[in-house]
Amino acid sequence: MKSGLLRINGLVTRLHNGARIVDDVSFDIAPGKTFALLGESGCGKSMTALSLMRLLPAGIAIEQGEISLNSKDILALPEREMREVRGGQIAMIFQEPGLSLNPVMTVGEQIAEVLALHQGIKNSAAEARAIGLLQQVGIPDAPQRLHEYPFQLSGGMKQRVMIAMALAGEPKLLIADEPTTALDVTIQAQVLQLLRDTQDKSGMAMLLITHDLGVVAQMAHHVAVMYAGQIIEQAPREKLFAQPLHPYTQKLFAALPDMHLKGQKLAAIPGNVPALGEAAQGCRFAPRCDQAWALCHEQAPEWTVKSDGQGVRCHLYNGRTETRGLRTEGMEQEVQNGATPHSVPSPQHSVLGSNYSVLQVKDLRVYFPIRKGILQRTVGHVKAVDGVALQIGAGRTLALVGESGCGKTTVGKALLQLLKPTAGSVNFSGAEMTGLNPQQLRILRGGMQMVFQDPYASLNPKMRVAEILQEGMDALSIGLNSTERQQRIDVLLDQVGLAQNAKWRYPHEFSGGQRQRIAIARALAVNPKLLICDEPTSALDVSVQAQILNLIKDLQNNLGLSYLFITHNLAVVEYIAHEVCVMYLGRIVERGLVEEVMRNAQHPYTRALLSAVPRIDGDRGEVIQLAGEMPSPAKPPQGCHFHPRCSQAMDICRAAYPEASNVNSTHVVHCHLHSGNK
Amino acid sequence: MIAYLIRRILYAIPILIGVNLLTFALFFVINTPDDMARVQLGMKRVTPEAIEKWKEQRGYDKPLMFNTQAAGSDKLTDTIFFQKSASMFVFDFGYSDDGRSISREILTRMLPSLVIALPTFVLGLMFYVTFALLMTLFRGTALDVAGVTLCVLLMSISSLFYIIGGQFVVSKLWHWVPISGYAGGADSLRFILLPVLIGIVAGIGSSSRWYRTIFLEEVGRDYVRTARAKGLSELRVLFKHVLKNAMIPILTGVVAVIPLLFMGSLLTESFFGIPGLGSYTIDAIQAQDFGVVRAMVFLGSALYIVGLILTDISYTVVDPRVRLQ
Amino acid sequence: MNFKLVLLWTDAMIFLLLAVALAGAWLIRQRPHLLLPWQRLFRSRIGMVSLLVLSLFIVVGLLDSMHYRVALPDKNGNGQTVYAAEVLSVFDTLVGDLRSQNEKTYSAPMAVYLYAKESMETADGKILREYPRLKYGGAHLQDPQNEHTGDVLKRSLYGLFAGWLGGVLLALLVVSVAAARSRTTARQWVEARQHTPLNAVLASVILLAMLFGLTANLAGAYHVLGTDKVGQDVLYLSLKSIRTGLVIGTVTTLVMLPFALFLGIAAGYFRGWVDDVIQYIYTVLSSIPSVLLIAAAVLMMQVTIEKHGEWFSSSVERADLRLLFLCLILGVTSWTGLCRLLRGEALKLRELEYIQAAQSFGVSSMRILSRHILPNVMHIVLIAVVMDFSALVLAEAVLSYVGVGVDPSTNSFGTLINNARLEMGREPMVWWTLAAAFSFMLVLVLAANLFADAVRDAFDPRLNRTGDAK
Repeated sequence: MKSGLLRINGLVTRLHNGARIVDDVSFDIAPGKTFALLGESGCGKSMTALSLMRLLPAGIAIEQGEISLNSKDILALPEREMREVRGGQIAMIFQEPGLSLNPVMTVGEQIAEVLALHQGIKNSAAEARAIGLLQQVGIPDAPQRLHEYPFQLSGGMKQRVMIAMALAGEPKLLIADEPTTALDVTIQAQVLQLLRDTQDKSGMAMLLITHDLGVVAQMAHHVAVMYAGQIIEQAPREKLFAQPLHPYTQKLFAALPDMHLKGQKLAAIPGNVPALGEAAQGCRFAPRCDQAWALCHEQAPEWTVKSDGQGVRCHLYNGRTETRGLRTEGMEQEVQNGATPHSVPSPQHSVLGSNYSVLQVKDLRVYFPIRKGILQRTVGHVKAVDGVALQIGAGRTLALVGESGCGKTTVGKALLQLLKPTAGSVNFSGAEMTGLNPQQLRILRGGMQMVFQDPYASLNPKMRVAEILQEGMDALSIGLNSTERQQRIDVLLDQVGLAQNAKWRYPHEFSGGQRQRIAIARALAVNPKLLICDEPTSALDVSVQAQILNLIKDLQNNLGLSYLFITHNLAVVEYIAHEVCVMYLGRIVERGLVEEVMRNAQHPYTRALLSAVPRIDGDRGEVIQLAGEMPSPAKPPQGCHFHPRCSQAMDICRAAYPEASNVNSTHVVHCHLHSGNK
Repeated sequence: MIAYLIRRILYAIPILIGVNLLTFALFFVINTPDDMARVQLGMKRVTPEAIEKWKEQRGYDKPLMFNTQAAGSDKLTDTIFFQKSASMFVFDFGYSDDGRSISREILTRMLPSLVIALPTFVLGLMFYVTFALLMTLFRGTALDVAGVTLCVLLMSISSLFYIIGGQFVVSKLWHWVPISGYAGGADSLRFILLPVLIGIVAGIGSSSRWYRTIFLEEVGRDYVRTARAKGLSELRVLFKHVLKNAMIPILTGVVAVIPLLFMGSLLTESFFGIPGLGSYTIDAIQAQDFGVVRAMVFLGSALYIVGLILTDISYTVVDPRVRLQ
Repeated sequence: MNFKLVLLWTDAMIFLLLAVALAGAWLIRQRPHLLLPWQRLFRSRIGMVSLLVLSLFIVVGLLDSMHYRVALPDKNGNGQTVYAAEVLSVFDTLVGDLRSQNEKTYSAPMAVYLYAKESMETADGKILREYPRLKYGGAHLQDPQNEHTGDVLKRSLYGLFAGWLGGVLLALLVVSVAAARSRTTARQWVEARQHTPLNAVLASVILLAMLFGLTANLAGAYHVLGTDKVGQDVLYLSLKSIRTGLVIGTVTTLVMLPFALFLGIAAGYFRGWVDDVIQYIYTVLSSIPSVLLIAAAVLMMQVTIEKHGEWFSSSVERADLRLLFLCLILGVTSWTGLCRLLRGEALKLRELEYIQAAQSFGVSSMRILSRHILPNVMHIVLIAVVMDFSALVLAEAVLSYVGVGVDPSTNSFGTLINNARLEMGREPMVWWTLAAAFSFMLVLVLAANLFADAVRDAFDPRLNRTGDAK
């Protein structure tokens, strides 16, 4: 790392109230290499990137440290010269491509701006160059796209435009701040591939900021793990993945859900990521660390570099390891979160394998009308859900998987009758739910409940936890009197692993993970048999996600709940589900037991989806690149919906939608490739 | 787009009917024409004959909605509702109490109103946006704080004070321009200078502060960070990226007001003696001329609806994302 | 002294509003999360100082809203007590002579002589055109030419000193009582509030007390702000105008709020035909230029009032009803904006997951509206209400000028300005009434605007996230 392109030394960035949000961060990036900053939300990784662009938001300032690019001190540059560095030497792309492009300027104008500024290319030359750049990032019909506005492009296209814009200045370093977090897996695979290709061609270095170990495994040469503003471990990727040293890094790996861990508890990290700039004596991870001992709580560990170059900030490795024997003293943990680290054998398969189905859905359709013209006549329908059938057995978990816009959330809402289904039947423990009036429906409501995605939007900020939990009981008249309901609230809080004193507090006093526990308790309050979990962990950090997944599994084991688990995260599916339905454009394209679908996927879409998930073993395998993106459900393609993106499409695929074909008794696929099996 | 506009124009009809019914109820149902006549003629010693005469002169001697004595279609048309309210849909406003055609009066008075209102509007908008941009450029500094403080102070002052104070200082103390009056042609400049100036000053506080809020909201958006990350200077970011986006809410907001410029400003025209629609309205209110007030109500709401439609159109012009459906 | 209480309509409204505010305050004290934004507000220096100034205005307004009629010394033929036709307020009694000591006509602030010359007979029988001495203003002076300035200075200093003393005592009293209640020493109590606007508030208390002392002491002997055409004390008139301003600014809100609130969130939550109907109503109402709608309604109301003269036992009641009606009309014209805002917010809220959670329990729509939507739009309502206040106070003056404002006999800034406007042409100029009316209005509106800003900063979740996230 002697020939560093970028060198950061002892960087400290503070809030105006003095809290250090980036605390003594140092690293080097070599030319042509990818350096990954890995960490959970709020750990200071984005602020590090903005510090080196000198683009910190108002109220946040660099306090000390050195940043040099090609041995030039960036922090000493006057603002005018700094502007030449931005975009010219260091370019940056952001997490939300939809918000990061100027909505009222054409793609071409936005790229031309960079060309004029850093390359001195203008007018028709700039246009030609811009077309070239768009082609380089894989945008079809580049000359036309040049004159389009960002809203006319899909999310993946916008991120490609962002990359083209970054490349326009021919930078030596590209900072990519969670470049694929907002994108679907198949699109993520495309964009990551593009970034790798571009790097190979241009030889620029990349600072990749991400929370996703899978992305790091695919992209990085060198990794630094950040926690609470500090780098706690730094190593070449292979070393870090082979042998993580810091307890936090180890836990991050262990917290990832995976097929192998099925039936075991995930190693959740208890507690929560500390708030920004929360001052702490001692090691910042100590309160959540199960290997912490007294010293960890008193004294901050020094940066220690092992002989093989792997650096770590932990007392376990700073040469005084002989004191390790004392460490049990400090092991007082918040048992509140119930994070017993390792496997508790689960009785689920023996007890819960019954054939009795709680929910049986047939031919469910949800259409939204498209109105047009002077009289607003209905001229067509958006077929958000188009003939979905599924069934869930008692005590079983069915995962409904698909990319954004495939209609999976709409299915969940239609099941609960929050949206009126256009057609189809929803049979819940023997009772038909469609076509009921609100009074009749109310009787059935207790049986099926929902846990929502966003823990911040799913709890009314103006209600206390007890009131939130009581609402459903009141509405459905569960529990005879208020004492009984209060007792039930205590039981519920206990079940979801919250302390009793949570009862009289308001949602804003809780972290995201705790809020999700409250949301689960609210649903449980009315004794449901089936919980519809709509991406319950996608807004949470990995370590907290593990806590919630454990809780969801425990509840199934103890209460015999069934789940419809709606998600886009295939790793979670492998870990938690018994059966899987894969959804594409309003229809289920493949269903089966989780092992069948994950190990022996038959539908080309399922295969592409599976291959696109970045694995932490760094095995880049053959990613099945899908062409283009999911079409709009207002105009689904003729024949098989998937054929325009399918590499194996045949003539018949363009003509007719494939009927169900059985691979075996449990595994069904809608694909003409398999129609012989019928 | 065309279909959308037709739909909007069709939607304007029930609104105008609503306005019409409302004013009809207000003027003729709550109080009878007899009551109005009595008030107009002075409460004391009003003979029934005098009332009848007053009503007859103004066409209030007909039944309200339905004329049982008339024949054929006259049963509906020979009524106060048809004569006074329904006829407004074809912009037939009838006659004012002093016997002049209201429609003609409106047409002749529109021009002086516009001569004052239009420059005030255009120059004001330019000034407010510039001022707001300056405050945004210097956001967080003492200049910004001073600007905001000035805005709050200016918006706390009564508009009457601006007019009275302006007339006093500029006209009476300094004798720069006449206190009031109006003349056509090139001479008009002398007369419109002060009202326009006062109109602009009176709006600085609220408008500039409002625009500043819009600018600041835009400055905080992600695309601004992208623009800075490209290496653009703060001025370029502000003028090329922020201004373009902020102008969408600002322009579409002010477009709604443009048709109403025809109505003139009540206060300014009345204080400066400008023979526009504003002073016409105020005179009518003070003389309790119900016919004129009703006509102005109808005209005002018709122009408001035109403003709403213009707003929708302006969205498609300035914002590439909007396609009217 | 015998008297009969008179409860005017607007008095009733004001006290109802006060009761609502007190009940709200009590409710908020019970709930820590509701208290949070208020605590933010209490930390704003500008907000607190402007609230202090506002509360002075409110005290004057409240005192001026307690009306009564005094019993006349003579009983009528049947032995019943007869009450004076004149309706007085507690405020009138408190200011005492300020109300009754009327001069003949104009006099300048602090003047000793009348504004207009009069023919006077001197001791030797000659007729002179002279500025006569005022009946009350500076009447205690023997030799105004020489004593006037000195007397004014002396009284000013004395008043300032007394005010300062009173202010300091008041501040000490407040601090020691508060300290005693929290069981600390006064010094500790103050030091614990280093980062609160306590010092600024205490300083303002002292400054305002000094201003009060100065005015009170001078007002005893002079007309501090001069007199108007019929010789009434302008200071008194200005103070009386405050109540009208407050009534317009607050009662209007009280009237419109239920409509705006219910219709707005109902339109946003239910959508469909409910939304269409409500949108239609407010588009119709907002399409009529508000001044014209007010003018039309006020003209019609005048006709009605004149027709039913028998409804009112006194001219004050009649003027009061007109004031109330003006508030109603202003309410009708101004609810549409808030309604639209609330509709938009309800549209956003109804898509939130906690509403859907409630729906999936089968919670009734009314309950969702009252438990989930209403509490989450209250901050918008509060911000809108305080923002509207100053606009309404300003609007009153304009409407009164146009001739569709309050009754000409009602004291208000509008009528003051309207009456004084024509006197600008006189030589020398009669500027003091206008100046007094505009200054009082400026202070009131400025304080209200600054307070509104502080409220918005404290309550708008977009501007202040520290209390909400995490």
